[in-house]
Amino acid sequence: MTTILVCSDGGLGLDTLGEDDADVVLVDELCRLPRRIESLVPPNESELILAIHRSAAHLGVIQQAARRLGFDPLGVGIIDLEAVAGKELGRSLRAAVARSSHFPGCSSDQVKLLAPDRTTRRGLLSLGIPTYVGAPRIDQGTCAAGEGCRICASACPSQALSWVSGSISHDMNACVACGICVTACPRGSVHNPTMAPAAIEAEIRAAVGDGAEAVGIRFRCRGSTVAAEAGWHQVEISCTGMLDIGWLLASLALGSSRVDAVACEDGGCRLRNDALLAATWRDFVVVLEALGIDLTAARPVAPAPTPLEAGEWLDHRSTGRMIDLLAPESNVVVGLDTVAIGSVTIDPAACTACRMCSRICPTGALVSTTSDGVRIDFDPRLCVACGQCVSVCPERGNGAIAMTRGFDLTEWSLGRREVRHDPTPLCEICGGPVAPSSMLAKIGAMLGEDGVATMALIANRCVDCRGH
Amino acid sequence: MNLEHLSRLRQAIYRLGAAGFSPPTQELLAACRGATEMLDSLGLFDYSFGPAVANATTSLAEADLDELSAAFVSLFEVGVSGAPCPPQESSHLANSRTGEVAQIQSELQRIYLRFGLRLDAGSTDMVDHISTELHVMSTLCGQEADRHTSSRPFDRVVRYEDEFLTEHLLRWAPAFTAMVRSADRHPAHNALADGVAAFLAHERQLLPLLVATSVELSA
Repeated sequence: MTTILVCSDGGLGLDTLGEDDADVVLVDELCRLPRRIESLVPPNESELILAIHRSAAHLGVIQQAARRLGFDPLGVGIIDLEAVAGKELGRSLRAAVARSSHFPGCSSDQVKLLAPDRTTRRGLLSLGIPTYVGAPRIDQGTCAAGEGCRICASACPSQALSWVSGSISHDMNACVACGICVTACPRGSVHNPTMAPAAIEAEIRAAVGDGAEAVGIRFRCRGSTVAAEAGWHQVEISCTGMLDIGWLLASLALGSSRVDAVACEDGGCRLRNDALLAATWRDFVVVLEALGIDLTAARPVAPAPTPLEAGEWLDHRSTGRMIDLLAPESNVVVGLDTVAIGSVTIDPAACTACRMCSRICPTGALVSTTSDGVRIDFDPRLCVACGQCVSVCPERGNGAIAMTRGFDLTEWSLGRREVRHDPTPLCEICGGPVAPSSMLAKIGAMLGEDGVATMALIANRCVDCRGH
Repeated sequence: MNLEHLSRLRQAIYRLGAAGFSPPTQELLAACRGATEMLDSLGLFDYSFGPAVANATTSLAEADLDELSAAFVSLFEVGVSGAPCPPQESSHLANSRTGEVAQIQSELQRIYLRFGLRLDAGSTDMVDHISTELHVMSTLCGQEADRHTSSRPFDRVVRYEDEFLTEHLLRWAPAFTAMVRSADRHPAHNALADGVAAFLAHERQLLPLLVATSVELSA
């Protein structure tokens, strides 16, 4: 069962709630005296939602009270009443319940202690009741760092993530819990319990409802205090720098009439991630134009029939999936600056078919087989434009591989396709593969006339048989 | 909650961990019965590790001594190829063939001396046992609390805490507690491992703040 407590300060009354919200309890001075929740929550409740005035309440005290009641404080739904238009509280409560019910749980290494106020001597002598936020944890079981991937470390603006000997190391003290690593990871291996894509999707679904009422989704940075505006539901995220186009598109595909994002005001992002949001938004507008969606028109975009399950709409594959979902049937070619969608081309004249590109590809967009020579296939839907295939290619200086950001729906319609095929000569002794012919040709060219005898050996025998 | 309360709380939790990973006694279980209330009075639930530590004290208080003792021996002392969860730092970090065990142990003895600590005369405790290392931290936190009480500078003692945590406990204790958890021999040991892991994860973040605070206050 869910307990919903709403601070009645500021004149909020039950008339702002619908018939479905009968289990809501209005509490006087909940913001000023948050410890009161300890006496108001019945035992064995599974979820707790609090609607409070964020600026008046001490989040640390609320978290303390939640702990005493047996709740995970990071799983408690908090609604900032200053960000909710009076008549729309019921919608916000339903959305908060949905997000809270999808809270994935939190381990002790996913809790980030926020530094207390140390600006006064008194502040130094008393750390006060601390406040915590969710922090990322890397799922080493699915992380591609072992294959060389370091996308999250490159994306981290605070250098809290680093690639060390084939795994990602997380420095909690450097981490600012901005969430950028969560959306940057091409495998969905970075988990922040408070920014779980499935929980945010559930919140959006609940806010949008059945689409009867036009509701815009406004992603709001945790540090900002955007005034409530009728017709908009605010979705709190760690930092708007973590937004990717997939989340913005998914909001539209889920039925929101509009979508918006607001970073910290008053001098810009505290974490200095303004440029990330600006670049994402620029590409988002380009994608919308290409897909024929008018963002300024307050009209619902009906969810299309889709094979996607609930919980998959905002995951690490969302950008490609949403473009697929929202794309018109016409051919669309879009070039973009930052979006995590790309296309890879391989020049057979320069490529030596070493397969380094397919080995490092974290999403499986590039895969290779060796059963019939070396064959490399590419699926543009899976490409996240990380560029690691280019950076690892030993022949990149000769133009063997190139990556462009953007998408070509005609190319997408082809699905996975062969982008490189190199016949491999077979060993004259055992019949096994020797090496890609283009690689042998390159070695032969490097050795020149002096290497004719050597080439006669290595081009005809595999590594195992060369000593015979 | 002031810094003295915080250091007393940390002292008590380290002491709980040290006792919990020592051979169980009736006195330990009896002491755990009122421990949650005592820790609560020091602000246990202000912190993220509060529920996990409270669960550890409750589980220890409710444990049967014979069952807990049997689980203790099977987890930390005997096994076909050594203890399933060796509770010594050197078992986790040292290569026994290259003499690193002795190296770690002598380094710890030097550190304890530098901190002004030494094992009780006649003690058979190993210097790198989890219980000993947690006890060292408990003692340092107690010294810190005493300095808060008498308004003396505490920068040196929190630097010791930070150094010992970073260079020793945090390098192996998280892996050790994870081993205890996955061995899953007794609910009280599971809860103790969870509590210590949550507490140490918090200490990793708290100590740099305390060091910075002590430096600013002494400036």
